[in-house]
Amino acid sequence: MSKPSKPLDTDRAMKGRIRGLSVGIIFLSATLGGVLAATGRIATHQGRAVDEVRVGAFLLLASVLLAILLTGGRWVIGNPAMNDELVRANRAKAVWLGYVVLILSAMALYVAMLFNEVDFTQMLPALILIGVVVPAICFVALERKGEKGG
Amino acid sequence: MADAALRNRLKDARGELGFTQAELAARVGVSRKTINTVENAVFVPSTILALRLAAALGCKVEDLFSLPPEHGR
Repeated sequence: MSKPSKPLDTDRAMKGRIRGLSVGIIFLSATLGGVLAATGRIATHQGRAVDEVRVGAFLLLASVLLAILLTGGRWVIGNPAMNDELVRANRAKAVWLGYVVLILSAMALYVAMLFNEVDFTQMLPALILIGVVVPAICFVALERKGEKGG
Repeated sequence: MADAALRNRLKDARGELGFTQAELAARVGVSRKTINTVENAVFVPSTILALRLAAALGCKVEDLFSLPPEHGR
């Protein structure tokens, strides 16, 4: 009874957030193949309504994951301990890594386009995936590392 | 890295007062994980958090955190 309940709730909520992010990362990555195919069909005017829904769902999920990553889900959970300075430091590291990987991927794509015929429309979903998933994975890894005490 | 050079005796100071990580975390308004990473020298706290920790444990910041001798003082 003497133990405050807030930190325990925070622990549970933080684990829930990490689990949610992990599921989102897996789901977003798993849908890439289907999204690439749908993008190709839409770009060549052979797309069906289901292709547009698939691309829309991909963009929506990517936006939600990005919003959770950048805000810490403050709009869902208002506990300040969920966004303390360790979380902010982990987020800054993760976003920095995501930015570097995204720019390097764009550079690699640019070089590839100079020598091969690459459909840029087909590559955009992959770049979006890299820009969202890399920092999300990095954030999850850093949070788990903190959980284990480094 | 200079960050890794920071020494702390947070775990000892907390133990002396009989606080758990969760209790100390609640007193300074951070998560238990933050206390855990500071104790294990994974995370270097800000000046504000260091002052809050010292206040919560009833000691000075210098009693909790110090630089190794080679970094001078």
